[in-house]
Amino acid sequence: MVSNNQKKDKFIELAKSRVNRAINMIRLISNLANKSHYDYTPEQAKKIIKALNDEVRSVEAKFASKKRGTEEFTL
Amino acid sequence: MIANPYNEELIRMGVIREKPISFKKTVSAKYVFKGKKYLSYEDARKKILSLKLDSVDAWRKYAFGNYLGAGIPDNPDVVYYGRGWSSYNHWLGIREKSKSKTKKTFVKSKKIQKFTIVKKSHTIQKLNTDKNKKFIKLSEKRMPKTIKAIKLIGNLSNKFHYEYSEEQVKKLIISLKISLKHIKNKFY
Repeated sequence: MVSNNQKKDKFIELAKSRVNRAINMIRLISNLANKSHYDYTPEQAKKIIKALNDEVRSVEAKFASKKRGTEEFTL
Repeated sequence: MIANPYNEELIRMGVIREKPISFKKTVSAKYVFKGKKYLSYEDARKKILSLKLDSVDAWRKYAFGNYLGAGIPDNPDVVYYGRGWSSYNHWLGIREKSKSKTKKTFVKSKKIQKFTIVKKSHTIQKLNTDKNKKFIKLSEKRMPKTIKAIKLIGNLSNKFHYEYSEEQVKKLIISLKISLKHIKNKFY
């Protein structure tokens, strides 16, 4: 059984690396907004931002729901 | 002027002039706003500058409790809107202090937004197809990767494997949302 401290450390370590990675990727996409190199219709921009927004929202929802792993089993 | 025996005596003694200088005669009303005559922005501002008010708060207190003189509005931001009005600092002759960084960046982003909106209306007609192809190619490569990366963050919510506090979650989501805001500012 993994101890609680290990769980905490794991969370911090993984959260740091994953969030930083995600932010970096989002930054890469924001480079595509540069009109001197790329061109896009407003609809395309909307699509991209909507997809990212939905994803972040679903992450938020996942953290907000406390179902997983917290249910207690009783006999 | 109302005839006042006390005033007449003073006039005789030469303390005050017979006809006191009235503002109304010197007022050269430049334009009418909602039925009232007002001075031009520059003329009104000169009179306000002579009061030497040092802050917007001081101005509000003064304008609320005192008569400003004929042709000078107590709501110059409304009356002179589009007729020379720039800011209360200019109105009162206050040197603008350097604003905090957050405010500056906010203004900047707004400017950028306006600029890009104007640009877009042009590009609707002339979409550069080569550049658009490049855009589609790269975004189709990068989007799945980022979506995967964001989904992986969601896996951290599993309390069976990880343990975390609400503050940590807040920080995490706020940092994601900030990056979303940045990208929105860039695209729109």
